[in-house]
Amino acid sequence: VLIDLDTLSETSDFQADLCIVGGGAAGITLALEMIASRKHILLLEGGGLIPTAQSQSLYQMDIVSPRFQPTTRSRLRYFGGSTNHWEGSVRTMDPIDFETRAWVANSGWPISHSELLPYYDRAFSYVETAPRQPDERPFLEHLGRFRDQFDAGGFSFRLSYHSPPTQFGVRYLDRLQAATNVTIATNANLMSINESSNRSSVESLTICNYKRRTATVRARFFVIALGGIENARALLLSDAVTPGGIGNENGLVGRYFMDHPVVKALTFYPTDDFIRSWNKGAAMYRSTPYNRYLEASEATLRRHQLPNSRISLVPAPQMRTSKGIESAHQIEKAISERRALPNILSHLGNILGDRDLIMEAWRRTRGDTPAKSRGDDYGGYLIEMMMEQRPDPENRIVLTDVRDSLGLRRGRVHWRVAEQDKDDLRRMVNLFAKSAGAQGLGIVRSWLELDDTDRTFTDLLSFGSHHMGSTRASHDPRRGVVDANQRVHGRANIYVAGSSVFPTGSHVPPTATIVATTIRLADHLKKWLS
Amino acid sequence: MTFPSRRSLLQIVGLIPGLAAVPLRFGHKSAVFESKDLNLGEKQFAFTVVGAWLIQNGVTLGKLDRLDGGTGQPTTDLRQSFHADPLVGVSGVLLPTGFCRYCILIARPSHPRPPAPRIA
Repeated sequence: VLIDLDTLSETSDFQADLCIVGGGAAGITLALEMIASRKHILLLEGGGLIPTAQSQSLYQMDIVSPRFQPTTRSRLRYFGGSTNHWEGSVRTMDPIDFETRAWVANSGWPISHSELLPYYDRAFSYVETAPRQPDERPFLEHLGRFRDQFDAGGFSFRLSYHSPPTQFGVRYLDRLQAATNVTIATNANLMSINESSNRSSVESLTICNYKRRTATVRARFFVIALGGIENARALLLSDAVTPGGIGNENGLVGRYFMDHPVVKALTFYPTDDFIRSWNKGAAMYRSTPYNRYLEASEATLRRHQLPNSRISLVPAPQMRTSKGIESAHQIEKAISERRALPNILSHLGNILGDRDLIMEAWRRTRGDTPAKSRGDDYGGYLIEMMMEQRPDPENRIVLTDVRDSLGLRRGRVHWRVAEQDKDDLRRMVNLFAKSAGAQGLGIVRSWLELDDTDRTFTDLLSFGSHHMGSTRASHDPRRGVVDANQRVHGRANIYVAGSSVFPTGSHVPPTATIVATTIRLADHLKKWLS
Repeated sequence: MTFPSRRSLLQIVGLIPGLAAVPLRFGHKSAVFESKDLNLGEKQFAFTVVGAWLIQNGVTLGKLDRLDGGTGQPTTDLRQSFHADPLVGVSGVLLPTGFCRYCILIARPSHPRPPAPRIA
């Protein structure tokens, strides 16, 4: 059953066994899993079936950060959520990602990798990339001695699947509509979560449509699945009984917010032999959409006490790897910010060496592209590292006093790359350079070495837009908002689903893990509902 | 010492171990680690060129000492040096201190010269 709350002349109250708030990857997966339970499921979606400016504008937030992607661009607020624009890279997280690592403060999941593996199996069918992992053997055999050499140097080749990518709203709407026990209500915005006076459970939700007509939803269980930022905001906004918001007795709701910073870290100049082998590997997998990348082995991460990160090898033209162009940007930034440039002579030398490329780049900005130029020639493999960010309590979601069009307090994101994260990146780059050099595979030019103005972590920084950690899971209520089953600590019937429950984020895009943890939650809820 | 033309210099430096750094500067297509095509004199000359390039980019023996505490033995074996020594950034390129130390020593005639490289 599909109801558009905006078209109802009179809003009525709703009753369900399970109310799911949010129609993204987590919410839709949970609803699909619950079809067989024959319990009445109500799925609330704040947007409609297609994007509208009215709905999308509710994602506007203040941002306090040297650089962070606008929250109206990184997320989509309509049925299917951000799966409507995801890239489709899926892989399980590594076993080490779930461990409590002594060198990563606040790390450690309340569940293990092996515990989640069966759910990954089921998750991969939802994202249409079953079986769980690609068969890496032909790829690794093909790489032959290079694989052994990288292994010896402490790095491993990896493959990840590419989902079509599955747009959950489009792909699964028919199946949900056909289910007699599922009601989907669109344009149903969550206004508040209403706790009982003794704070032990949630009694109801208040929702409203875009005409500000409100309704009450009563259910036995509630699951908040609004996304990595909005999950925290929804709990913070519901502070009528618990000061500071539901589950926020220890001030943790909104804290430890993480993303995957993608950093232009280095240019790798491999030997010709390696390039030939790598390109043949690409041809081998042309018919199957895999991503190929390198990551530090588990032993390397332990030995050097580093968080996880992904090293993607992408051949780049000289225009993208020119240090002269980068030096010109460094000087431009230093002048505009009136800051000293310690290596000014070195930058001037770089500009002089690449003056033809700089001129060409300038001409290209005016739409004048030469037919043949050095700028398009091979310029090495540009490596953009997707980093695991250390959980940092200062990275957080808070509420402001500004109200959105529904009258709710707007959120603010505090986000930064901490000095320790920057140091991790430097150490990882050095480690990769040493490993590649010692194995005779090539040499490395570090972009960090050229950076005098912090451009690496500002202008050049891009994002996975994977919002995680703001309602983290832990056995201990002093260290997490939800428990191992994703139930808010101290509350009997409210759960949180999605990447906001991840205590750490690995370097792996989160969708497969969101779906896997949600299926696990569904199994848990089925027991309680029956 | 008389320097050859830029073109002939490139031909030399692109062929010997360690001079992968210099091709980057001039946009060669890949790093080259091994070559048996050069005789001892040519190799010595090429190491000298790298040494001059390192000095030109502000790499000194003092800087190398600060980085590795003087433990990086002067060597022409780039792979071994990558394995054993810490790295120094030279105009962004990360090179091992032991190899850099050899090149700088050989580029400075006033300094006691390191042993000549062995040709495989």
